[in-house]
Amino acid sequence: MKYLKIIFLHFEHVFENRLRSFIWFLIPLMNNLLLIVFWKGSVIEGKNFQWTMSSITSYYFIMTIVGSMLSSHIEEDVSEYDIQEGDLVRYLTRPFSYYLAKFIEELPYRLLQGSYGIILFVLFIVFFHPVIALNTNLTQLPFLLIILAFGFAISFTLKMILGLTTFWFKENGGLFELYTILNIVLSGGIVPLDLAPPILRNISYFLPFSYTGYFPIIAIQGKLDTIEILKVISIQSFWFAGLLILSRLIWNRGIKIFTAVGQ
Amino acid sequence: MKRYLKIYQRLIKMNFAIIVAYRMGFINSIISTIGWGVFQIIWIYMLTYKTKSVFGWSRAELIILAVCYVVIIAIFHLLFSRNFERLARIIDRGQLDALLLKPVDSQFLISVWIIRYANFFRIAMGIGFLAFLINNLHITISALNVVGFLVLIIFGLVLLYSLWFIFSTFLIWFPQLTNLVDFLYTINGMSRYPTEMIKTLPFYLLPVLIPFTITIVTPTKALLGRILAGDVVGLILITFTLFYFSRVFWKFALRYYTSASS
Repeated sequence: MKYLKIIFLHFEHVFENRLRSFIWFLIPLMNNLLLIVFWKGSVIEGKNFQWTMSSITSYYFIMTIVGSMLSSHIEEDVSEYDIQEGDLVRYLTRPFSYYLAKFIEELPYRLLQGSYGIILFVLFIVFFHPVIALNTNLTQLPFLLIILAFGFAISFTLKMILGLTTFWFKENGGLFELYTILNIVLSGGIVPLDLAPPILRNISYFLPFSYTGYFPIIAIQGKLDTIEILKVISIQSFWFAGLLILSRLIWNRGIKIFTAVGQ
Repeated sequence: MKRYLKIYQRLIKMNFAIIVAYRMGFINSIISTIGWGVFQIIWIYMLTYKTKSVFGWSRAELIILAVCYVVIIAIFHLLFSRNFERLARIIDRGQLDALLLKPVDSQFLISVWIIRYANFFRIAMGIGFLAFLINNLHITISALNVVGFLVLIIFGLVLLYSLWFIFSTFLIWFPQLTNLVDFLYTINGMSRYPTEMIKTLPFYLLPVLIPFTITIVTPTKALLGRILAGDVVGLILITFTLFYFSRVFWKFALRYYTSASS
Protein backbone atom coordinates (compact mmCIF):
# COMPACT_ATOMS: atom_id res chain seq x y z
CA MET A 1 0.00 0.00 0.00
CA LYS A 2 2.78 2.45 0.94
CA TYR A 3 4.45 1.84 -2.45
CA LEU A 4 1.19 2.61 -4.22
CA LYS A 5 0.92 5.91 -2.33
CA ILE A 6 4.46 6.84 -3.37
CA ILE A 7 3.65 6.00 -6.99
CA PHE A 8 0.60 8.31 -6.85
CA LEU A 9 2.73 11.09 -5.36
CA HIS A 10 5.12 10.79 -8.29
CA PHE A 11 2.20 10.80 -10.69
CA GLU A 12 1.32 14.29 -9.44
CA HIS A 13 4.86 15.42 -10.18
CA VAL A 14 4.79 13.87 -13.67
CA PHE A 15 1.48 15.54 -14.54
CA GLU A 16 2.89 18.97 -13.62
CA ASN A 17 4.97 18.79 -16.81
CA ARG A 18 2.53 17.19 -19.26
CA LEU A 19 3.64 19.22 -22.28
CA ARG A 20 7.32 18.52 -21.67
CA SER A 21 6.52 14.87 -21.35
CA PHE A 22 4.53 14.99 -24.60
CA ILE A 23 7.52 16.48 -26.43
CA TRP A 24 9.66 13.60 -25.17
CA PHE A 25 7.06 11.27 -26.63
CA LEU A 26 7.01 13.13 -29.97
CA ILE A 27 10.73 12.53 -30.53
CA PRO A 28 10.59 8.74 -31.15
CA LEU A 29 7.18 9.11 -32.81
CA MET A 30 8.57 11.44 -35.49
CA ASN A 31 11.51 9.14 -36.14
CA ASN A 32 9.34 6.05 -36.46
CA LEU A 33 6.75 7.70 -38.72
CA LEU A 34 9.53 8.76 -41.08
CA LEU A 35 10.90 5.23 -41.14
CA ILE A 36 7.47 3.97 -42.20
CA VAL A 37 7.39 6.51 -45.06
CA PHE A 38 10.95 5.51 -46.02
CA TRP A 39 9.96 1.85 -46.33
CA LYS A 40 6.91 2.80 -48.40
CA GLY A 41 9.17 4.28 -51.08
CA SER A 42 11.74 1.47 -50.96
CA VAL A 43 12.30 -0.98 -53.77
CA ILE A 44 13.33 -4.14 -51.93
CA GLU A 45 15.79 -6.72 -53.27
CA GLY A 46 14.23 -10.19 -53.38
CA LYS A 47 11.10 -11.13 -51.43
CA ASN A 48 10.67 -11.44 -47.70
CA PHE A 49 7.25 -12.91 -47.01
CA GLN A 50 7.62 -12.48 -43.25
CA TRP A 51 7.95 -8.69 -43.55
CA THR A 52 5.26 -7.05 -45.66
CA MET A 53 4.54 -3.30 -45.65
CA SER A 54 1.74 -3.83 -43.13
CA SER A 55 3.98 -5.77 -40.73
CA ILE A 56 6.73 -3.14 -41.05
CA THR A 57 4.18 -0.38 -40.34
CA SER A 58 2.92 -2.34 -37.31
CA TYR A 59 6.51 -2.85 -36.15
CA TYR A 60 7.28 0.88 -36.02
CA PHE A 61 3.90 1.79 -34.51
CA ILE A 62 4.31 -0.76 -31.74
CA MET A 63 7.94 0.33 -31.30
CA THR A 64 6.74 3.86 -30.52
CA ILE A 65 4.44 2.62 -27.75
CA VAL A 66 6.74 -0.10 -26.41
CA GLY A 67 9.73 2.25 -26.54
CA SER A 68 7.92 4.94 -24.55
CA MET A 69 6.68 2.39 -22.02
CA LEU A 70 9.78 0.27 -21.57
CA SER A 71 12.79 2.50 -22.24
CA SER A 72 13.93 3.92 -18.96
CA HIS A 73 15.87 7.22 -18.83
CA ILE A 74 16.87 7.13 -15.19
CA GLU A 75 20.65 7.31 -15.76
CA GLU A 76 20.91 11.11 -15.93
CA ASP A 77 18.88 11.47 -12.74
CA VAL A 78 21.11 9.00 -10.92
CA SER A 79 24.29 10.52 -12.31
CA GLU A 80 23.67 14.26 -12.28
CA TYR A 81 21.24 14.92 -9.44
CA ASP A 82 21.81 12.02 -7.06
CA ILE A 83 25.54 11.33 -7.25
CA GLN A 84 27.08 14.56 -8.60
CA GLU A 85 24.83 17.02 -6.74
CA GLY A 86 24.52 14.84 -3.66
CA ASP A 87 20.76 14.17 -3.65
CA LEU A 88 21.57 10.54 -2.94
CA VAL A 89 21.75 11.41 0.77
CA ARG A 90 17.94 11.76 0.82
CA TYR A 91 17.55 8.19 -0.34
CA LEU A 92 20.04 6.71 2.09
CA THR A 93 17.85 7.60 5.06
CA ARG A 94 14.72 6.01 3.60
CA PRO A 95 13.48 2.59 4.72
CA PHE A 96 13.81 0.97 1.29
CA SER A 97 16.54 0.39 -1.23
CA TYR A 98 17.76 3.05 -3.67
CA TYR A 99 17.02 0.71 -6.60
CA LEU A 100 13.40 0.31 -5.51
CA ALA A 101 12.98 4.05 -4.87
CA LYS A 102 14.18 4.92 -8.37
CA PHE A 103 12.04 2.15 -9.85
CA ILE A 104 8.96 3.67 -8.22
CA GLU A 105 9.94 7.16 -9.44
CA GLU A 106 10.34 5.95 -13.02
CA LEU A 107 7.09 4.00 -13.23
CA PRO A 108 4.67 6.97 -13.57
CA TYR A 109 6.78 8.45 -16.40
CA ARG A 110 6.61 5.22 -18.34
CA LEU A 111 2.86 4.90 -17.77
CA LEU A 112 2.20 8.46 -18.94
CA GLN A 113 4.41 8.08 -22.03
CA GLY A 114 2.83 4.72 -22.80
CA SER A 115 -0.66 6.20 -22.49
CA TYR A 116 0.29 8.94 -25.01
CA GLY A 117 1.35 6.13 -27.32
CA ILE A 118 -1.88 4.21 -26.94
CA ILE A 119 -4.04 7.34 -27.46
CA LEU A 120 -2.11 8.24 -30.61
CA PHE A 121 -2.25 4.66 -31.83
CA VAL A 122 -6.06 4.67 -31.52
CA LEU A 123 -6.30 8.08 -33.26
CA PHE A 124 -4.16 6.85 -36.15
CA ILE A 125 -6.28 3.75 -36.59
CA VAL A 126 -9.51 5.80 -36.53
CA PHE A 127 -8.35 8.51 -38.95
CA PHE A 128 -5.78 6.87 -41.23
CA HIS A 129 -6.87 3.20 -41.13
CA PRO A 130 -3.38 1.68 -41.29
CA VAL A 131 -3.32 -2.12 -41.43
CA ILE A 132 -1.81 -3.09 -38.08
CA ALA A 133 -0.95 -6.73 -37.41
CA LEU A 134 -1.38 -7.66 -33.74
CA ASN A 135 -1.20 -10.88 -31.76
CA THR A 136 -4.79 -12.13 -31.41
CA ASN A 137 -3.94 -15.32 -29.53
CA LEU A 138 -5.44 -14.66 -26.08
CA THR A 139 -3.68 -17.62 -24.49
CA GLN A 140 -0.37 -15.81 -25.11
CA LEU A 141 -1.54 -12.63 -23.35
CA PRO A 142 -0.09 -13.48 -19.87
CA PHE A 143 3.24 -14.32 -21.52
CA LEU A 144 3.21 -11.02 -23.42
CA LEU A 145 2.73 -9.15 -20.15
CA ILE A 146 5.69 -11.03 -18.66
CA ILE A 147 7.87 -10.18 -21.69
CA LEU A 148 6.94 -6.50 -21.36
CA ALA A 149 7.60 -6.48 -17.60
CA PHE A 150 11.01 -8.10 -18.08
CA GLY A 151 11.76 -5.70 -20.96
CA PHE A 152 11.22 -2.74 -18.66
CA ALA A 153 13.11 -4.36 -15.78
CA ILE A 154 16.18 -5.05 -17.98
CA SER A 155 16.12 -1.56 -19.51
CA PHE A 156 15.78 0.03 -16.07
CA THR A 157 18.57 -2.04 -14.52
CA LEU A 158 20.93 -1.35 -17.42
CA LYS A 159 20.33 2.39 -17.02
CA MET A 160 20.80 2.18 -13.26
CA ILE A 161 24.17 0.50 -13.78
CA LEU A 162 25.09 3.20 -16.29
CA GLY A 163 24.09 5.96 -13.85
CA LEU A 164 25.95 4.32 -10.95
CA THR A 165 29.23 4.41 -12.90
CA THR A 166 29.28 8.13 -11.93
CA PHE A 167 30.68 7.00 -8.56
CA TRP A 168 33.97 6.51 -10.45
CA PHE A 169 33.70 8.55 -13.67
CA LYS A 170 32.59 12.14 -13.14
CA GLU A 171 32.51 12.84 -16.88
CA ASN A 172 30.48 10.01 -18.38
CA GLY A 173 28.32 11.84 -20.93
CA GLY A 174 30.25 10.08 -23.71
CA LEU A 175 29.48 6.70 -22.15
CA PHE A 176 25.75 7.53 -22.00
CA GLU A 177 25.74 8.59 -25.64
CA LEU A 178 27.57 5.43 -26.70
CA TYR A 179 25.01 3.36 -24.80
CA THR A 180 22.16 5.19 -26.58
CA ILE A 181 23.73 4.48 -29.98
CA LEU A 182 24.32 0.80 -29.18
CA ASN A 183 20.80 0.46 -27.84
CA ILE A 184 19.20 1.96 -30.97
CA VAL A 185 21.24 -0.24 -33.32
CA LEU A 186 21.03 -3.51 -31.36
CA SER A 187 17.46 -3.32 -30.04
CA GLY A 188 15.92 -3.14 -33.51
CA GLY A 189 15.47 0.64 -33.35
CA ILE A 190 16.46 1.13 -37.00
CA VAL A 191 15.08 -1.95 -38.74
CA PRO A 192 13.47 -5.17 -37.54
CA LEU A 193 16.48 -7.38 -36.71
CA ASP A 194 15.23 -9.97 -39.20
CA LEU A 195 16.06 -7.48 -41.95
CA ALA A 196 19.44 -6.46 -40.51
CA PRO A 197 22.80 -7.79 -41.76
CA PRO A 198 23.39 -11.30 -40.27
CA ILE A 199 26.42 -10.29 -38.22
CA LEU A 200 24.53 -7.48 -36.48
CA ARG A 201 21.52 -9.74 -35.98
CA ASN A 202 23.62 -12.41 -34.26
CA ILE A 203 25.31 -9.86 -31.99
CA SER A 204 21.88 -8.40 -31.13
CA TYR A 205 20.41 -11.77 -30.19
CA PHE A 206 23.34 -12.38 -27.87
CA LEU A 207 23.15 -9.05 -26.00
CA PRO A 208 20.33 -7.80 -23.71
CA PHE A 209 19.26 -4.81 -25.85
CA SER A 210 17.05 -6.80 -28.24
CA TYR A 211 15.13 -8.23 -25.24
CA THR A 212 14.04 -4.71 -24.26
CA GLY A 213 12.79 -3.73 -27.73
CA TYR A 214 12.78 -6.11 -30.66
CA PHE A 215 11.47 -9.28 -28.98
CA PRO A 216 8.65 -7.58 -27.03
CA ILE A 217 7.56 -5.88 -30.29
CA ILE A 218 7.49 -9.00 -32.44
CA ALA A 219 5.76 -10.89 -29.61
CA ILE A 220 2.98 -8.26 -29.68
CA GLN A 221 2.88 -8.61 -33.47
CA GLY A 222 2.27 -12.33 -33.08
CA LYS A 223 5.48 -13.36 -34.83
CA LEU A 224 6.52 -15.73 -32.04
CA ASP A 225 4.85 -19.03 -31.13
CA THR A 226 4.43 -20.05 -27.47
CA ILE A 227 7.68 -22.06 -27.36
CA GLU A 228 9.66 -19.11 -28.76
CA ILE A 229 7.98 -16.75 -26.28
CA LEU A 230 8.98 -19.01 -23.39
CA LYS A 231 12.53 -19.09 -24.73
CA VAL A 232 12.60 -15.26 -24.83
CA ILE A 233 11.24 -15.08 -21.27
CA SER A 234 13.91 -17.48 -20.01
CA ILE A 235 16.70 -15.43 -21.67
CA GLN A 236 15.16 -12.22 -20.30
CA SER A 237 15.06 -13.66 -16.77
CA PHE A 238 18.70 -14.70 -17.11
CA TRP A 239 19.74 -11.19 -18.19
CA PHE A 240 17.62 -9.54 -15.50
CA ALA A 241 19.09 -11.69 -12.73
CA GLY A 242 22.65 -11.10 -13.98
CA LEU A 243 22.19 -7.33 -14.31
CA LEU A 244 20.51 -7.11 -10.91
CA ILE A 245 23.47 -8.82 -9.27
CA LEU A 246 25.86 -6.53 -11.17
CA SER A 247 23.97 -3.39 -10.14
CA ARG A 248 24.02 -4.58 -6.52
CA LEU A 249 27.78 -5.15 -6.68
CA ILE A 250 28.37 -1.72 -8.25
CA TRP A 251 26.14 -0.06 -5.65
CA ASN A 252 27.88 -1.78 -2.72
CA ARG A 253 31.30 -0.71 -3.96
CA GLY A 254 30.28 2.75 -5.16
CA ILE A 255 28.48 3.81 -2.00
CA LYS A 256 31.71 3.30 -0.04
CA ILE A 257 33.44 6.08 -1.98
CA PHE A 258 30.42 8.43 -2.08
CA THR A 259 30.76 11.65 -0.06
CA ALA A 260 28.25 14.48 0.35
CA VAL A 261 28.56 17.71 2.30
CA GLY A 262 25.71 19.84 3.56
CA GLN A 263 24.08 21.39 6.58
CA MET B 1 31.28 44.66 -37.87
CA LYS B 2 34.94 44.85 -36.83
CA ARG B 3 33.91 44.93 -33.19
CA TYR B 4 31.84 41.77 -33.63
CA LEU B 5 34.73 39.99 -35.33
CA LYS B 6 36.94 40.92 -32.38
CA ILE B 7 34.38 39.59 -29.93
CA TYR B 8 34.13 36.36 -31.92
CA GLN B 9 37.90 36.03 -31.90
CA ARG B 10 37.82 36.35 -28.09
CA LEU B 11 35.09 33.72 -27.89
CA ILE B 12 37.17 31.31 -29.98
CA LYS B 13 40.07 31.74 -27.53
CA MET B 14 37.79 31.46 -24.49
CA ASN B 15 36.26 28.22 -25.75
CA PHE B 16 39.71 26.83 -26.46
CA ALA B 17 40.78 27.68 -22.90
CA ILE B 18 37.79 25.66 -21.64
CA ILE B 19 38.83 22.49 -23.46
CA VAL B 20 42.37 22.86 -22.14
CA ALA B 21 41.02 23.26 -18.60
CA TYR B 22 38.51 20.38 -18.81
CA ARG B 23 40.40 17.81 -20.88
CA MET B 24 38.35 14.81 -19.75
CA GLY B 25 35.14 16.57 -20.78
CA PHE B 26 36.67 17.24 -24.19
CA ILE B 27 37.65 13.58 -24.63
CA ASN B 28 34.07 12.64 -23.68
CA SER B 29 32.72 15.02 -26.32
CA ILE B 30 35.02 13.53 -28.96
CA ILE B 31 33.79 10.01 -28.11
CA SER B 32 30.15 11.03 -28.36
CA THR B 33 30.50 13.16 -31.50
CA ILE B 34 32.40 10.42 -33.37
CA GLY B 35 29.93 7.86 -32.04
CA TRP B 36 26.97 9.78 -33.51
CA GLY B 37 28.84 10.26 -36.79
CA VAL B 38 29.45 6.51 -37.09
CA PHE B 39 25.84 5.88 -36.06
CA GLN B 40 24.53 7.87 -39.05
CA ILE B 41 26.53 5.68 -41.40
CA ILE B 42 25.45 2.43 -39.70
CA TRP B 43 21.87 3.75 -39.69
CA ILE B 44 21.69 4.22 -43.48
CA TYR B 45 23.68 1.01 -44.09
CA MET B 46 21.15 -1.03 -42.08
CA LEU B 47 18.15 0.77 -43.50
CA THR B 48 19.20 0.20 -47.08
CA TYR B 49 20.67 -3.28 -46.54
CA LYS B 50 17.81 -4.92 -48.45
CA THR B 51 16.83 -2.04 -50.71
CA LYS B 52 17.91 -1.15 -54.23
CA SER B 53 16.50 2.37 -54.29
CA VAL B 54 14.27 4.70 -52.29
CA PHE B 55 12.20 7.46 -53.92
CA GLY B 56 14.52 7.44 -56.95
CA TRP B 57 17.74 7.58 -54.91
CA SER B 58 20.09 4.62 -55.28
CA ARG B 59 21.64 2.97 -52.21
CA ALA B 60 25.04 4.58 -52.93
CA GLU B 61 23.46 8.05 -53.26
CA LEU B 62 21.58 7.59 -49.99
CA ILE B 63 24.80 6.66 -48.21
CA ILE B 64 26.48 9.77 -49.67
CA LEU B 65 23.50 11.85 -48.46
CA ALA B 66 23.95 10.41 -44.96
CA VAL B 67 27.68 11.20 -44.98
CA CYS B 68 27.01 14.78 -46.19
CA TYR B 69 24.54 14.99 -43.30
CA VAL B 70 27.32 13.92 -40.91
CA VAL B 71 29.63 16.68 -42.20
CA ILE B 72 27.10 19.53 -42.43
CA ILE B 73 25.43 18.78 -39.10
CA ALA B 74 28.87 18.54 -37.47
CA ILE B 75 29.65 22.07 -38.71
CA PHE B 76 26.28 23.21 -37.32
CA HIS B 77 27.02 21.56 -33.95
CA LEU B 78 30.50 23.07 -33.94
CA LEU B 79 29.17 26.61 -34.35
CA PHE B 80 25.61 26.79 -33.08
CA SER B 81 23.63 23.92 -31.55
CA ARG B 82 25.03 24.05 -28.00
CA ASN B 83 24.12 27.75 -27.90
CA PHE B 84 20.46 26.86 -28.28
CA GLU B 85 20.73 24.42 -25.36
CA ARG B 86 22.21 27.31 -23.39
CA LEU B 87 19.41 29.64 -24.48
CA ALA B 88 16.80 27.16 -23.20
CA ARG B 89 18.61 26.99 -19.87
CA ILE B 90 19.09 30.73 -19.39
CA ILE B 91 15.49 31.55 -20.25
CA ASP B 92 14.24 28.85 -17.87
CA ARG B 93 16.42 30.22 -15.06
CA GLY B 94 15.60 33.86 -15.78
CA GLN B 95 19.19 34.73 -16.67
CA LEU B 96 18.45 36.31 -20.01
CA ASP B 97 18.36 39.81 -18.45
CA ALA B 98 22.11 39.81 -17.92
CA LEU B 99 22.59 39.07 -21.59
CA LEU B 100 20.09 41.66 -22.80
CA LEU B 101 21.82 44.37 -20.77
CA LYS B 102 25.15 43.91 -22.55
CA PRO B 103 26.02 46.51 -25.23
CA VAL B 104 26.13 43.82 -27.93
CA ASP B 105 23.39 42.46 -30.20
CA SER B 106 21.49 39.85 -28.16
CA GLN B 107 20.92 37.48 -31.08
CA PHE B 108 24.65 37.47 -31.79
CA LEU B 109 25.59 36.76 -28.18
CA ILE B 110 23.02 33.99 -27.87
CA SER B 111 24.04 32.29 -31.10
CA VAL B 112 27.83 32.15 -30.94
CA TRP B 113 28.87 31.98 -27.28
CA ILE B 114 29.78 28.27 -27.28
CA ILE B 115 31.96 26.53 -29.86
CA ARG B 116 32.13 22.73 -29.72
CA TYR B 117 35.63 21.94 -30.96
CA ALA B 118 35.09 18.20 -30.64
CA ASN B 119 33.02 18.35 -33.82
CA PHE B 120 36.19 18.95 -35.84
CA PHE B 121 36.81 15.23 -35.41
CA ARG B 122 33.38 14.35 -36.83
CA ILE B 123 33.90 16.72 -39.75
CA ALA B 124 37.30 15.15 -40.51
CA MET B 125 35.82 11.65 -40.24
CA GLY B 126 32.92 12.59 -42.53
CA ILE B 127 35.13 14.19 -45.17
CA GLY B 128 37.47 11.18 -45.12
CA PHE B 129 34.59 8.77 -45.54
CA LEU B 130 33.04 10.89 -48.28
CA ALA B 131 36.31 10.87 -50.25
CA PHE B 132 36.60 7.10 -49.74
CA LEU B 133 33.03 6.53 -51.00
CA ILE B 134 33.40 8.77 -54.05
CA ASN B 135 36.66 7.02 -54.95
CA ASN B 136 35.35 3.49 -54.36
CA LEU B 137 32.01 3.97 -56.08
CA HIS B 138 33.75 5.61 -59.06
CA ILE B 139 31.49 8.68 -58.93
CA THR B 140 32.70 11.43 -61.24
CA ILE B 141 32.70 14.81 -59.55
CA SER B 142 33.83 18.02 -61.25
CA ALA B 143 35.43 21.04 -59.58
CA LEU B 144 32.21 22.95 -60.27
CA ASN B 145 30.25 20.31 -58.31
CA VAL B 146 32.56 20.76 -55.33
CA VAL B 147 32.35 24.58 -55.46
CA GLY B 148 28.53 24.37 -55.70
CA PHE B 149 28.50 21.93 -52.77
CA LEU B 150 30.61 24.24 -50.58
CA VAL B 151 28.62 27.39 -51.41
CA LEU B 152 25.28 25.66 -50.82
CA ILE B 153 26.54 24.27 -47.50
CA ILE B 154 26.87 27.88 -46.30
CA PHE B 155 23.26 28.61 -47.28
CA GLY B 156 22.15 25.31 -45.74
CA LEU B 157 23.84 26.19 -42.45
CA VAL B 158 22.31 29.69 -42.33
CA LEU B 159 18.91 28.18 -43.05
CA LEU B 160 19.34 25.57 -40.33
CA TYR B 161 20.45 28.26 -37.91
CA SER B 162 17.41 30.41 -38.75
CA LEU B 163 15.03 27.50 -38.24
CA TRP B 164 16.54 26.61 -34.88
CA PHE B 165 16.44 30.25 -33.81
CA ILE B 166 12.78 30.66 -34.78
CA PHE B 167 11.75 27.52 -32.88
CA SER B 168 13.90 28.39 -29.87
CA THR B 169 12.33 31.86 -29.69
CA PHE B 170 9.10 30.16 -28.59
CA LEU B 171 10.92 29.45 -25.31
CA ILE B 172 10.25 33.08 -24.36
CA TRP B 173 6.57 32.12 -24.03
CA PHE B 174 7.11 28.52 -22.86
CA PRO B 175 10.29 28.66 -20.73
CA GLN B 176 9.74 25.22 -19.19
CA LEU B 177 9.93 23.48 -22.56
CA THR B 178 13.69 23.13 -22.35
CA ASN B 179 13.44 19.82 -24.24
CA LEU B 180 12.31 21.76 -27.32
CA VAL B 181 15.97 21.76 -28.32
CA ASP B 182 16.05 17.95 -28.12
CA PHE B 183 13.03 17.99 -30.40
CA LEU B 184 14.97 20.19 -32.85
CA TYR B 185 17.77 17.63 -32.91
CA THR B 186 15.11 15.11 -33.99
CA ILE B 187 13.62 17.33 -36.70
CA ASN B 188 17.16 17.87 -37.97
CA GLY B 189 17.21 14.15 -38.63
CA MET B 190 14.69 14.72 -41.42
CA SER B 191 17.42 16.17 -43.56
CA ARG B 192 18.89 12.66 -43.85
CA TYR B 193 15.98 11.73 -46.11
CA PRO B 194 15.43 12.65 -49.79
CA THR B 195 13.12 15.65 -50.36
CA GLU B 196 11.03 13.41 -52.65
CA MET B 197 10.14 11.31 -49.61
CA ILE B 198 9.18 14.26 -47.40
CA LYS B 199 6.93 15.56 -50.21
CA THR B 200 4.72 12.45 -49.84
CA LEU B 201 3.73 13.55 -46.31
CA PRO B 202 0.46 15.45 -45.67
CA PHE B 203 0.61 18.96 -47.24
CA TYR B 204 0.11 20.80 -43.92
CA LEU B 205 3.41 19.40 -42.61
CA LEU B 206 5.45 20.48 -45.63
CA PRO B 207 6.00 24.19 -44.78
CA VAL B 208 7.76 23.09 -41.58
CA LEU B 209 9.56 20.01 -42.89
CA ILE B 210 10.75 21.02 -46.37
CA PRO B 211 13.12 23.80 -45.15
CA PHE B 212 14.84 21.30 -42.85
CA THR B 213 15.24 18.76 -45.65
CA ILE B 214 16.70 21.09 -48.27
CA THR B 215 19.52 22.17 -45.95
CA ILE B 216 21.36 18.91 -46.66
CA VAL B 217 19.70 17.49 -49.78
CA THR B 218 20.41 20.55 -51.99
CA PRO B 219 24.19 20.67 -51.37
CA THR B 220 24.35 16.86 -51.76
CA LYS B 221 22.51 17.07 -55.08
CA ALA B 222 25.06 19.71 -56.19
CA LEU B 223 27.90 17.35 -55.29
CA LEU B 224 26.31 14.47 -57.20
CA GLY B 225 25.62 16.71 -60.20
CA ARG B 226 21.85 16.17 -60.15
CA ILE B 227 20.79 19.63 -58.99
CA LEU B 228 18.25 21.83 -60.79
CA ALA B 229 18.24 25.64 -60.90
CA GLY B 230 14.96 25.58 -58.97
CA ASP B 231 16.62 23.76 -56.05
CA VAL B 232 19.32 26.44 -55.77
CA VAL B 233 16.91 29.38 -56.08
CA GLY B 234 14.55 27.73 -53.57
CA LEU B 235 17.31 27.23 -50.99
CA ILE B 236 18.66 30.79 -51.36
CA LEU B 237 15.21 32.42 -51.19
CA ILE B 238 14.06 30.41 -48.18
CA THR B 239 17.37 31.08 -46.41
CA PHE B 240 17.15 34.87 -46.80
CA THR B 241 13.46 34.94 -45.86
CA LEU B 242 13.80 32.81 -42.76
CA PHE B 243 16.98 34.52 -41.58
CA TYR B 244 15.20 37.89 -41.76
CA PHE B 245 12.13 36.43 -40.08
CA SER B 246 14.21 34.89 -37.26
CA ARG B 247 15.54 38.37 -36.42
CA VAL B 248 12.15 40.09 -36.54
CA PHE B 249 10.53 37.29 -34.53
CA TRP B 250 13.22 37.43 -31.82
CA LYS B 251 12.77 41.19 -31.39
CA PHE B 252 9.01 40.74 -31.24
CA ALA B 253 9.31 37.92 -28.68
CA LEU B 254 11.56 39.97 -26.40
CA ARG B 255 8.65 42.30 -25.77
CA TYR B 256 6.98 39.41 -23.93
CA TYR B 257 10.00 38.34 -21.92
CA THR B 258 9.32 38.54 -18.21
CA SER B 259 12.41 37.98 -16.17
CA ALA B 260 12.22 35.67 -13.18
CA SER B 261 14.85 37.57 -11.26
CA SER B 262 13.46 41.10 -11.33
